[in-house]
Amino acid sequence: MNDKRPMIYGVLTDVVGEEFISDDPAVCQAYSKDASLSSVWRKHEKDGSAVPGWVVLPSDADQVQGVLRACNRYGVKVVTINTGVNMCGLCVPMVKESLVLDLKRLDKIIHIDEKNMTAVVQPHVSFARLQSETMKRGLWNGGTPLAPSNVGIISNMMFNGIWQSALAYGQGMRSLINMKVVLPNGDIIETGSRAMPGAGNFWGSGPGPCLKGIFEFTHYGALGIVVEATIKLHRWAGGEWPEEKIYDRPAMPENHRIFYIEYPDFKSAESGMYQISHAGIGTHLNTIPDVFNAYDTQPTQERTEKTYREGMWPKNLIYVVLAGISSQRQLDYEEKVLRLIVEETNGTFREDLREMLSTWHGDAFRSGDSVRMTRHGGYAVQRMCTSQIETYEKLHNAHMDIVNKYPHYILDEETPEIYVYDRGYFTINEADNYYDQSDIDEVTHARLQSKEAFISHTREDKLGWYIHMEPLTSIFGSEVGPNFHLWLKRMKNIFDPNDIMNPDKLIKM
Amino acid sequence: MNAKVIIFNKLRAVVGEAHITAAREDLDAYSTDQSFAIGRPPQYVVFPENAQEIGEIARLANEYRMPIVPKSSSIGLYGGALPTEGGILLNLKRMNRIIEVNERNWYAVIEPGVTFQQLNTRLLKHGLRVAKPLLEPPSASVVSTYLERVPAVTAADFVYGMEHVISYTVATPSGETFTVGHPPLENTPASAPDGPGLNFYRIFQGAQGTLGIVTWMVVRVLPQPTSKKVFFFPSSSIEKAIEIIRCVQKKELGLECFALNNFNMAAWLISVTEEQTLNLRKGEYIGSQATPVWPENQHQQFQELRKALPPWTTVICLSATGPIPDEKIAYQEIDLKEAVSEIGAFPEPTVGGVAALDTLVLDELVLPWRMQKRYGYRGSCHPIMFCSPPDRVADFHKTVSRVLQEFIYPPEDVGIYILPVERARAFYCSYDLHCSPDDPKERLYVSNIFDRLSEVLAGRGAFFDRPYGKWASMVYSRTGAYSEYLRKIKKEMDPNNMMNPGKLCF
Amino acid sequence: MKQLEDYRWEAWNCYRDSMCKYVFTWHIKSERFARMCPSLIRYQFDAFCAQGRLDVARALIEGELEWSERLLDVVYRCQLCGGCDYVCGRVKEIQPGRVIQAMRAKLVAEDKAPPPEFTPLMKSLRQYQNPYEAPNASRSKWVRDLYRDESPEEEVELPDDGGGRETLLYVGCSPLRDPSAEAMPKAAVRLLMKAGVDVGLLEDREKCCGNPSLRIGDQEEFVAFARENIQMFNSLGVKKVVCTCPFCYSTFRRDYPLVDESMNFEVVHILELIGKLIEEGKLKPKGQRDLHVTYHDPCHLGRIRSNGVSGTGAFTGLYDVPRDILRSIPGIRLVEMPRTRDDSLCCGAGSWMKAAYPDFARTTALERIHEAKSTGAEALVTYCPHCEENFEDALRTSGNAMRVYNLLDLFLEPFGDDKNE
Repeated sequence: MNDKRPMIYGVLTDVVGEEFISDDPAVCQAYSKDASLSSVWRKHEKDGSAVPGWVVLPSDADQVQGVLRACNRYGVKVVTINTGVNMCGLCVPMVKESLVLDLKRLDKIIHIDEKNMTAVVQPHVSFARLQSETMKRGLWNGGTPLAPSNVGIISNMMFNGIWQSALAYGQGMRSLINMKVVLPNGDIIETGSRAMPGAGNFWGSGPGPCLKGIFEFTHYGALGIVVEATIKLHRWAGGEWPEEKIYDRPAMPENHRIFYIEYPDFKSAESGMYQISHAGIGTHLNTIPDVFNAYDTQPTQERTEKTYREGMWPKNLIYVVLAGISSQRQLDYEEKVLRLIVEETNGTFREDLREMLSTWHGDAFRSGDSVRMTRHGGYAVQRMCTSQIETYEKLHNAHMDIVNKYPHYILDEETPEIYVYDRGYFTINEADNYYDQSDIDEVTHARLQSKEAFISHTREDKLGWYIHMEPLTSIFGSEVGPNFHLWLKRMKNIFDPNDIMNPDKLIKM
Repeated sequence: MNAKVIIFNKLRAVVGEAHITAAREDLDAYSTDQSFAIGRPPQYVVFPENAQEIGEIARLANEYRMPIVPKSSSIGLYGGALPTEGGILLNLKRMNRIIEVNERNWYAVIEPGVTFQQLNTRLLKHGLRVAKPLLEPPSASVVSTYLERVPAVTAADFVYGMEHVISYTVATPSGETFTVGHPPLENTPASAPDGPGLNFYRIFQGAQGTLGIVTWMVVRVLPQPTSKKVFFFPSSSIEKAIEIIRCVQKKELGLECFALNNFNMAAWLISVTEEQTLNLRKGEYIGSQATPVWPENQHQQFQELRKALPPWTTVICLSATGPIPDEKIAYQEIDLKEAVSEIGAFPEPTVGGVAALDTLVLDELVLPWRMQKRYGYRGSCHPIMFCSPPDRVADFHKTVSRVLQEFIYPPEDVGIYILPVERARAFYCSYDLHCSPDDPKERLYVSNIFDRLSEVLAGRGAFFDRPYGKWASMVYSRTGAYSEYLRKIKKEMDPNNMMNPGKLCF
Repeated sequence: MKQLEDYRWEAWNCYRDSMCKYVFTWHIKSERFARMCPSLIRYQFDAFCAQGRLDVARALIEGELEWSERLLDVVYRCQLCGGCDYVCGRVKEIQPGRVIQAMRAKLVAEDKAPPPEFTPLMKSLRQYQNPYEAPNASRSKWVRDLYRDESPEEEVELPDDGGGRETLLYVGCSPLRDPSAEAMPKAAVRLLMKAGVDVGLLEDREKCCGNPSLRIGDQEEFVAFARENIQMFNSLGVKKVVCTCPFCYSTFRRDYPLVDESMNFEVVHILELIGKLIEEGKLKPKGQRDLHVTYHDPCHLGRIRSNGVSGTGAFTGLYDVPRDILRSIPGIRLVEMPRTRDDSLCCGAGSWMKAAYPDFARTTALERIHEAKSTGAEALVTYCPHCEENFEDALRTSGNAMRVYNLLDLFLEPFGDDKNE
C-alpha cells in the first residue's frame, strides 16, 4: 500500500478537493474511537489499526461514488461514519490504513412534502434538525431514540433505532420508505418507487423482491453507503416545540399528556404494560429504570448518586404519553382507559415525581438530556433483544445473574428498559452497564459482563434475539439454519466482492 | 427407463403415490389462471406435506435441472404461479396446518396452504381475526398473500395495516432452510420481522416464489373489535373521495378505509344465491377455469344498483377494543363528522338505497369475500394494480379514462378500488378490466387495453411494486441497477434458475 | 491551574455523542442554524470540534500523538466560545474548553506553540502588557478625551485613580486598538455620571486582564497578570470591579479564581449596573426609535461568564438584562435569532482569532450575520468590543448592508437620559 499511497491520495483529492481530505495523524485521531465499548478497549490495547490512514469528507452522492470507486480499485478499506454513536464499534477501522468516509457534508433536507407526508433527507440530517422544520408544519418523523436527537436519522433507522414512541410508530426502519445507495464499486441502487424513473419516492417496497431489506437493518456499513432516503412523516399535534424556560423543566408539547406509573413488582408491571398497549391507546409506553432516571433528570453526578441512594426512583416505573391527534376528546378517552387499566393492574400514578421527571417532556420526543446516562463515562449494552412483554422479569433475573458476579458499580442498571412496540406486538429490551472509559478495570469488567450476557442470553436463556455480533450459527444453530451465516457472505460477495466496506464487521470473509 | 419416469418415481418416493400426478388433464389445469398471463403445463404436480419433503424435492429438481413453481393458493389471479418451462408444480395445499395461535401475543404460526377462511375461523374463537385484502378471495393463501405484499383492507392504519409478517422459514433451491425474523423460541414467543443480520424477509417478499419456498410463517393477527361503526361518504368525483379520505386520515381515525366506484360498489352489494354465497366464501367460485357469469336477473340488479349509487363511495369503519370501546366509537364519531364537515362532506347511513348496508359491510369486514362477485360480470376480471402518491391519484384516473377512450372501452365498466396506506401517505389503486374468457377476440382486445394502460400508467409514474406477467419486463427494463442486483441475488440463491423461471427479471 | 494530564478522565470519557457540534437538541429552532461549533462549521473534520479535540488530548496524554503543524491548527483554531462547554457540561459535566486550554498550555510550555500567527500577540503582551503593541500610557487618552468632550470649558472632577473608591470601572485594552473602540468605555462613563454613580478608573495603571495570554496558552504570563491585578485591586480596597469588556469580565470571574482565590472584590458587568439603574428609574431613555433589531449574546457575557449550574454557564448567562435594556428603548422591536442565549453562535473573534486567523474569524462572523439577516432585523445589537469589531469588519469586506450597534450607544443616543426627568 505504501508506495501507492501518494497516488491514491491524489486520486481522492481530485474527487473531494484538497480541503476535504486529510491523512494527518491529529485529524485522523478524531476518528479512532466511537461510542462503543470495543473501541474504548482497543484504545487501552493501543490498537493502532483503529486510527484511520486518511479521512475524506465528500459533499454529495457523486463524490461518495468517486471515493468508493477509487477505494474499490486500489483496495483501500472504507469505514463510514456519520455521528459515530453506535454500540458495536462500527465506525472505527479494524484494518490498518483504512479510510474513514465522514458523511457530515451530506446534511441537507432535500425536500419536505407536507401533502404526501414524506421528507427526503441526506444521512447527516438529524432528528432534531428535521423536527425543527417539520413541527412547524404539523408533522414530525414519529420518534426519537434515547441516543441524542442530533444523531443521523438514516443511520439510526438503519441500525434499528429504538424509539420512545415505538408503541405507535414502530421501529425506526419502519419509517424508512426507500433509499439511494452507493455500492462499493460505485453502482447506485435506488429502492422502492425510486427504482422506477418518474415514479417519485413515495413507495417503499419492490419492485418485486425488496432490496431495501439488504440495507435497512444492520448491514453495518458493509454493503454500501446510503446517501439519501425518503422517510415517513406523521401528524404532529404538539404545535410549536416548547421552550425550555426553566432549566431541565421544558413544557410538555401541546395536546400531549404524560403519566408515570409505578408497579409493585414485575408481574403487575407486565400486566399493566400488556393491557395498556393492547388497548390501542397512547404513543409512548416504556419502562424507565431507576438508574436512568437518576441520571437523566439530575444536572450533576452528585445529585444523581444522592437521589439514587435516597431511593427516590421507583424500580418498576413506566411512562405513558397520550397524544390528542384527532381532538381533546381523544386525550380524555385515552386517559380514562389508562386510569381504568392502571387501577385494575395495581399501578400507582406518581404525580409527586412529575416535576422531577420533566426532562422527559423533551427527551420523549427529541432527546437531549438522555446523554447524561454517560456521565460516569460511557455505557455499554449488556443485553439488547427483541422479545415480548412477559420476559421483563426473566430479563431482569438473567441480567442480575451476571451483574452480581462482577464489581457492582452503584449505578449499574438493574431493571431493563422495555420499549413497547407496535401496540404491544413486541418489545425491545435493553440492560446497560456504565463504566469509566479511562479506567481499564471498569472497561474490562464491562466487556466481560457484556460477553457473558451475550453468550448466556443467546445460547442459554433464549430470551429473544440479540443484536448480533458474531456469525449467526454460533448463536442459534439449527433455529436459524445450519449455514445461515453463509448467506451474509453471499450478500457480501454480491455487493462488495472486494471486501472494502467496513471489513470484519458484518462477517469475516 | 426414460428420465420422465425416473423422476416421477423419485418424486413419488418422496410424497407418496396419492400426492403426485402427471395426468394431462391435471397438468393442463395449472397452465392458466384468471390473468392474461400465458403459462404452460408442468410435467408433474406434487403435493408435499412438510418442509422435509420440499427440501428433498428441491434437491431432486436441482439434480435434474427441473424448474419448480410453488403454488399456495387454490386460485391464481395474477399469473405468478403459472409454469412456463415445464417442471414441477409444487402445490402446497396439503401444508395447511395452523401450527399455533398465540392469543396473548397476537400471532399465528401457519403453513403456506392455510387460507384466510381457515385461519379466520380459528382466530374468531380467540377473539382475533386476520388482516385480509378486500379484493382477494377467502380461499387465498395467507402466506402467499403476505409474501406478495397485497395490502390488507386495514392498510390505513400504521400498526395494523401493512406489516403482517413476523418470521418465516425458507427452503432454498439447494434444499437448505433458514429462518428470518424472530420466530418463537424456547423462552420467548415470536416477535419482530427484522434480521437476523439483514432483513432477508423483504427479499422473499414480492419474489413470486423465484428465490425460495416458504414452509411456515408467523403472521400478526388483529384483535376482534368489541365495538364498531361504519360510515359511508358518497361523492361525485375521485378527487372528492380522496379529499375525504385524507381529511379523516389526518386525524388518524378509523381502521378500515377505502373507496369504491359505483361499479365495484354495485358488484360488492348485489344479492347472490345461497349456493353462490357458499361457493364464494369457500373461494371455489373462482378457479383456473372461467367463472360462471351472473344470470340475467343479477345483471339487471347490478345495473339498477349501479345507477342508484353515487359515482364514488368512501367507506370508513371505526373500530375499538379495550375496556370502554363504545366511548371510543362515540368520540371518534364526533371527531370524524367535525373533520369532514370542514370540507363539506357528510356521512350517509346508506348509499344507493341499500337497506342495512352498515350491517352488511360490518359483516363483510370480518372476512371480506363479496368482491369475488365482480368476476361474474363478464367471467373474468383483470385488475391493474399500482401505487400512487395521494396528489397523483386523480391524475392517474384521468389517464385511465383517456386511454380507455382510445379503445372505446366504456369507463363505467371499470371497477375501481382506492385504498389509503399508512394514514394516506400513499394509495394503492386497483382498476379492473372485464372480459369474457370464452370470447378470444374480446379477450385479446381487453388484453391489449390492459397492456396499453399499464404501459401508459407506468410511463406517467404509477408504481407497479408487484410486477406480474408482462409488468415484469415493463418494470425491469426501466430499473437499471436494481434489476442487475436482483439477478445477482438470484444467481447466488438459485444458480440453476430453477425457481419459477421466467418471472420478474429472471 | 490544572495541567493537561489532570484532564485525563475528561479526555478519555468523551462519548462521541456529538452534542458539542450542535445547539442543544431541545433548543434547535431552525435546521439551517443548528450548528454550534464555529471551527467545525468552517473546517468540517471532527478534529475541529470538542469531541475531536478531546480525542487528540487523550492521544497526547497517552503519548500516542506527536506534534505537527496540523496539530496546532486543531488545537488553536477554536474560539473557546463555550458552546461545547455548555452542551457537554450540561450532559456530562465536562468542559472541553478547559481541556483545549490545557493542551495549548502544554504545547507552549514545551515550546511547540503557539502557532507563528500568534507570535506578535504574545510578544506584545510580554512587552507592552496589552495585545495592541501600544504604550500603556495611551490607556488614559480616552479618559482625557472624555473630560474634554463632557466639560470643555470647566474643570470637572471625573473619576480618577479610584483612591478610596470601592467601585472600579475596569475598561480593558480595547480602546488601545483604535479610536473607534473608545466609544464603549466613554458611553459607560457618561451613563454612570448621569446616574450619579461614583466609580474609579485606573487609567494608565490598568493592566491587561491576561485573557490573551490565557487563550494562547502562555499560562505563566497569565498567572502573572492575574496575580498582579488581584493584588492591585485588593490593595486599593476595591470591593466591586465593573467591567465593560466581556473578555475581561469573564476572565476575572471564571479564570482568576483558579489562580488565586483571595479576591476581595466582586466582579460585575456594566450592563448589570445599567440595568439596575434603569429599574430604579435613574436612567430613562426618551423619545422614539423606530428600529427592528436582533441581539447577539457575546459568549463571555453568556456561557463562559461563569461556572454556573452543572459546571457550565447553563442558564446563568447575562441574557435578560441586555434585552430588558433594549426593550426599555421606545420603538425598538426585538426579534430573536434561532441561536440565542446559551445557544448563541460565537461572533468569531473569541480567543483572538482575528489576530491569528482573520479569515476564520470573518467567515464565522458572516455566518452569524446571515442568521441575523434571516430574522428580518435591520440591525444587529451587541455589547462587546470584539464582537462589534469582527461584525463590522466582516460586513465591510462582504458588502453586506446590516448595521451593527453597541447596546449602550443605542440606549444613549440621541435621546438623552436625564435622570431627573
